[in-house]
Amino acid sequence: MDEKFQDRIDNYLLNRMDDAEKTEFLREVEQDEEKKEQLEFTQDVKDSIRSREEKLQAIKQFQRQYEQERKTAAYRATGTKQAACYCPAPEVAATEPVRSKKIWLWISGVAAVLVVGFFAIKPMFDYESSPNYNGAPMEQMRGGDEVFSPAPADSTDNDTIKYNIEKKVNADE
Amino acid sequence: MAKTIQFRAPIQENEARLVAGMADKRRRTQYELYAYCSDYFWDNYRGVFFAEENAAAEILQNTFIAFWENIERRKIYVEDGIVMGKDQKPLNGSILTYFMSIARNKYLEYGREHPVYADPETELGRLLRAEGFDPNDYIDMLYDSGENLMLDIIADVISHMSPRCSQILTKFYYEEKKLETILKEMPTIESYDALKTKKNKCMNSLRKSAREIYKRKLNS
Repeated sequence: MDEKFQDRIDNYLLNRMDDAEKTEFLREVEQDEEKKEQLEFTQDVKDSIRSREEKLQAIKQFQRQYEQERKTAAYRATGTKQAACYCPAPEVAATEPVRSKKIWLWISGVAAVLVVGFFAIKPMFDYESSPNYNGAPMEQMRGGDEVFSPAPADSTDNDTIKYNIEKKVNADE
Repeated sequence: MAKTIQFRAPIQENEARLVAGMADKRRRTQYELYAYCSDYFWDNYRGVFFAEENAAAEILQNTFIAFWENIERRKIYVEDGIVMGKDQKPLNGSILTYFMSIARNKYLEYGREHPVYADPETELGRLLRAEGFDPNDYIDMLYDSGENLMLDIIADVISHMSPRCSQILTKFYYEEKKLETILKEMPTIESYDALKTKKNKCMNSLRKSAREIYKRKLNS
């Protein structure tokens, strides 16, 4: 590409030449096929850039309008006759009591489980607070300690010999 | 002479109205067509190609620009209330099908530009390979032959320029700013000469890519 000639092409296309320069330039272009082709190419580039830029700007506006209208359509789909706005959509308010009802249902359910659980689990740990804490199942029975307390270690109640004698005596009777 | 009566469904009538409005530069109709195509694109693109949402948004943008330019260049147009396509024949099917065929080509281009999409080591790459992706194979689908072929190709190459080149050329040719002004706006470029060299390199690169595609198209 002839860069010096390119400068003259640019000056011609951007109207930076006086009439005499333009006439001279066009005469030169007519006599040289390569220069003519260079001028046509630059003219095409200029036209294409202008066309693209104008369209890009228009498309930016279209895009904004398109997004706005889609939002509007989304609001209108709620069934209201009001013009679209960015205020909360009516259906959001309508669903609020349903949501709070559900929350109360959950809270009361959890509370019920906790209460039932408390009464079910509590007796299992009660023996831990017993004064003698020996963990015997007998401790969980009804009645006082004096009635069902285990026999002392030196008691004859556990003496099998005594038991047998008593049994024999009874048999004789 | 017998006249063929074409029956049109309401959808076809609506599409003809949208295309005609686009060609007449009616802003409201342009937006309607954008919304019409966008709705269909977001509902259906996953059935046409495989892309993440951000990539899909970029593909949608480039697709709509190409679609719009095709209407401006009368590749599709309305005649007697009917949407016409190639060879002055009524467009086969809906304009949405036409739109999605452009989207698919833009997706293939995206794969060429973003190696992760064509990387055989990735899931996306494997899918593309399974589809038989080859960047050279789809050039035919992208550009119609005709007098505007080079313009089509240039428009396409411009859409894939590096961000730096895009910035410089847009400021220079679209905003019509002088290089001195651009230099002040782009402090990362150290001098006037460096900026001028960059601008010329961008033009050279554009020219080279466009010529290569043009030659391939002519050979095909």
